[in-house]
Amino acid sequence: MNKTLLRGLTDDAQDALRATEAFRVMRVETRWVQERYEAFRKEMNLSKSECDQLLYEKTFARNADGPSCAQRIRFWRTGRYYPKNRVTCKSFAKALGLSASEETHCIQHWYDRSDRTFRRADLHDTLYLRRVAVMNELGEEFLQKLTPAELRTLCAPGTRPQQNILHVYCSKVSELVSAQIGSKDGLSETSRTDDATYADRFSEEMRLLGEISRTTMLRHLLIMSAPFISVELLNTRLSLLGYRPLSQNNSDRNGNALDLVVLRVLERYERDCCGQAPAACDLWLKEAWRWMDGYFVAHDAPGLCVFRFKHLNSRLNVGVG
Amino acid sequence: MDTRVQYDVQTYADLEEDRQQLTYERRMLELQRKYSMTPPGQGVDFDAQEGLLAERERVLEQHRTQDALFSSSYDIPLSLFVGREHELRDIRGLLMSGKRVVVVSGIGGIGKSALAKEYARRNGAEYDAVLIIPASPSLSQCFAHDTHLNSAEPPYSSKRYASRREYGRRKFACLCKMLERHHCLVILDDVTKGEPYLLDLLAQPADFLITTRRASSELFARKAESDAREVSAVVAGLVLEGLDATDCQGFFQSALAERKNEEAGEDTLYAQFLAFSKEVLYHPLSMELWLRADHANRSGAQIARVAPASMGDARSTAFQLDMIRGLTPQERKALLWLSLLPETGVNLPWFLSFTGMSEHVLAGLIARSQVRCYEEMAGNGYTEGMHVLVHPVLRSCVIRSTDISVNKVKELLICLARDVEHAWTEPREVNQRKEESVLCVLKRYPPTLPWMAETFDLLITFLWIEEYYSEAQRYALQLFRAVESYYGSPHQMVAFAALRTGAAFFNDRKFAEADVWYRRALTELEECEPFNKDYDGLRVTALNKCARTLQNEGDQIGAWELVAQALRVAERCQMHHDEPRWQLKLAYLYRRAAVLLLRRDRKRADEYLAKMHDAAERVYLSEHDRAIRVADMGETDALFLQDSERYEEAAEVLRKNVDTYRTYRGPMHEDTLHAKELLADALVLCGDESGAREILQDVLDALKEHFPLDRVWMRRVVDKLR
Repeated sequence: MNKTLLRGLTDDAQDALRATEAFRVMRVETRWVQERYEAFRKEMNLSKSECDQLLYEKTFARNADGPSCAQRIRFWRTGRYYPKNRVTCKSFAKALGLSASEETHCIQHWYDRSDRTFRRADLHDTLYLRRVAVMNELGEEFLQKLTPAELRTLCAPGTRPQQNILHVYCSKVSELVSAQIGSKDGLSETSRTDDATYADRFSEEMRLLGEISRTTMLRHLLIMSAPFISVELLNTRLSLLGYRPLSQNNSDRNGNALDLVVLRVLERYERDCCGQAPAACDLWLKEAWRWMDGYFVAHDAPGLCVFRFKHLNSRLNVGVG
Repeated sequence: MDTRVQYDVQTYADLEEDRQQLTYERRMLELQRKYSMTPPGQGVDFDAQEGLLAERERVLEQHRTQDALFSSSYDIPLSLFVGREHELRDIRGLLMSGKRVVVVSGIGGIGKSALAKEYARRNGAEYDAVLIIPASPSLSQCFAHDTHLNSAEPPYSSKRYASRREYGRRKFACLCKMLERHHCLVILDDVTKGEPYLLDLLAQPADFLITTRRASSELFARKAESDAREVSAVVAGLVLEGLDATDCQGFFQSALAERKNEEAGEDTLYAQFLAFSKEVLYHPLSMELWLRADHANRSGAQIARVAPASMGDARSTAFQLDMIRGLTPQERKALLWLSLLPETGVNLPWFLSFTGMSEHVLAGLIARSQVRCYEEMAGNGYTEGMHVLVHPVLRSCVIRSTDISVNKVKELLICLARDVEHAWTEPREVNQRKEESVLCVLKRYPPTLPWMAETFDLLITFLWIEEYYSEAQRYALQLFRAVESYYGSPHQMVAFAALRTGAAFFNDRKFAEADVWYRRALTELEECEPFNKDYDGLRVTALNKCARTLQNEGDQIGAWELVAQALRVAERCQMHHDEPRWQLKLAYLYRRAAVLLLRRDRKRADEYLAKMHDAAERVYLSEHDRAIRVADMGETDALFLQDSERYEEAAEVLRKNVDTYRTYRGPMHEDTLHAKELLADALVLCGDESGAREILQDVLDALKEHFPLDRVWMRRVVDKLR
């Protein structure tokens, strides 16, 4: 990695750290909710505690038995906690009197999730079919980018590449988080992930079933699209899948300026790698992601690590959270 | 991107690698074109790159080799091949009709591989190549190693290939390429499992002959349902059984043709060979081994002319082990038990419940023709249900190759005993299914293990319940001798054995002999120390039996004393251990007490009668059991009713008894006949003499047919008829 790039990435990382500090005080999204809350309170002409109580009753359709009930609403509007699930979040948005588009904004920005989740009963839903086609295309292209050597190594004999997608995915992840680029660890043909829960969850995420956090989806898109990725393409895919696009003013629920990290790296990638061979682009991206994640770990900000896999960490011996 | 288009002479493997690389580069080019807004796609001259790729593909195609890419040097070992014309025609018909895969299955040594080879010999000219590939232990192992299979791939070396697995994959790819380009017959010899290599290979355009010991359905069991339909469209199965009887002579002649110095006596030898062949269901390998043994015998070697499994040479040992190769522990257990049980077959539902086996274990053995399932027909033309039978060759192999330890025998005996434990209260048809098995097991493992006396007793009891009196008495005596010899006298176990021997005689209506044994039991118990918790129970039983003897002899007072003693013990035990068996013992003791006191003390007799019903009520284990007990007690009830001159009611009770015994014991069982006799007596008291006569005539006819030796009973009935 040359010095210019190193310097540039350092600046980007420091910007991200500063932004995160600010977001931790107050997220932009939380301020938006507070504004709506204030508008609602003024309209109802209530004090804050009365308003909290009313919102509780409207959200949960039951009487607030004591001060601890209203406390929940207070935690939400201050960004300390978030609703337990999407249904509660939507109910809260409805209690605040938000319009449909505002409700979607609330879920996508403040709650940091997709505008809609799907269950098995929705498998014939038009919107689901459209979105899952995006994932299917993503998966197919991900496997098409495997070299013949990788195909032989990563795919079990006698199986189709699609049957090995999880192992290929984990191998690519290990290249991102293991000690050295191009180490044999990343191409291990024997260390297939054997965690059935993770395998099930991965399979469901690829089929867009259940609640999938924006960070998780972002990670999938970055890994599977590389090296054919840009800010515009990423934003298009995020929008298609019902997530908010990348924005440097937005943060995740914990106030981490992940968007800023991704935006800065991709902008630099588009500048530095224009016209280079796919293999070289891929290598550039891996080095950049690894360096950034290493920087954030060293500065005690693991929340800013883009490729932070709690499940796989123990297997890959990574110090990342 | 590499722009070289000139190639040196290369092996196919290199060409294949280049082809794969080209495919990859083409894919990447398409992605670059699609994502031209991303860095890898920017500034690329797609037309120029496309042109370069096309040129490389053209050059590559020019170097495509026409030679055979794959060959195998494996050959099926030579063995006698006779007959099988029908099977050869079947295979040809199947392959001609559009089925690309024919699976030939059967037990080891039945001639599957020989059949496949013969088919290839006769029809190989129709193909560009015939390949015989050994599929045992697995195809993947076969491809990974160099024995037999040669391909355009260079030999394995760790420098060239990352692993044996990769080497195998590349050889496999070579084979697939060859099958695409040439019309081949592929024989996969001795396939043991439905592995991915197999399924991928079968997808290639060739004719396949698979020989396997498994069933065709087992090889493709893991396929998804949609794939299963696809598979069944191209796969046909053929199960090989033994040779035709008419091929025996041909087989014999072929074998003898190899023996240059054949001596006289060929006719005798052929007759013996025929008999043996029939015994082993014309199993070719067994027949071949028999002939070899005979030849060796004539040459001076000392080998007995019996089934190959018992011969001492290495080939036979290998044959024995080979026959049960690949079986799961459950399957081996099933085969072992089938081998130990009657050779004529056992009832399937009973076998499953007795052994606790699941149906799919047996289904697997049946599918592989190691076990045959057939419908057993009774002499009257009705079916007796499904039976299972193990292949005779396999039976001998299993017995000889499996360690029949004492523990295994014990396990079998205990299982069987547990299964027949409630025979006294089971429906007759249920018991009938087990008769032959019990007889067979006792014959093979007679009761010589004294510490298993209780287990053997259950089996012996079953025999006399099912009216195998002679056998029951023989085994009971054998058991008694073993027990007495082991434990010495006086001993509780000796008393136990004596009691059970007495029961075997008593139920055969040999009352005098039975009495001797009952008295012996009582003596033993009075003199010995309690050995285990069954002591009191045995004592109560012995007292009760002896009391009956005295009662029959007319000694009512002596009988009552014994019964009173028994009651004291039983009531004490029942108080301490509130168990059904004590309730049952008490019920029968109260019954006897009631009968004994009927003429002497009616009031106490009524009390005992009520206690009898009360105790009996608490021990009904099943509907069948309830019916029998009610009938047993009903006899006493009838007696009391008659004593109270309520004849009609007594007759009604006895009529119900007859129906019960007829249903649960059978129309000709002694209990049924006895109940009929009592009914006839009751009808006489009611004034219905014609009805009584009719019933007694039935009883007499039945006694003549089923109890011809019981003159005492017959005389009594005859006297009543007069």
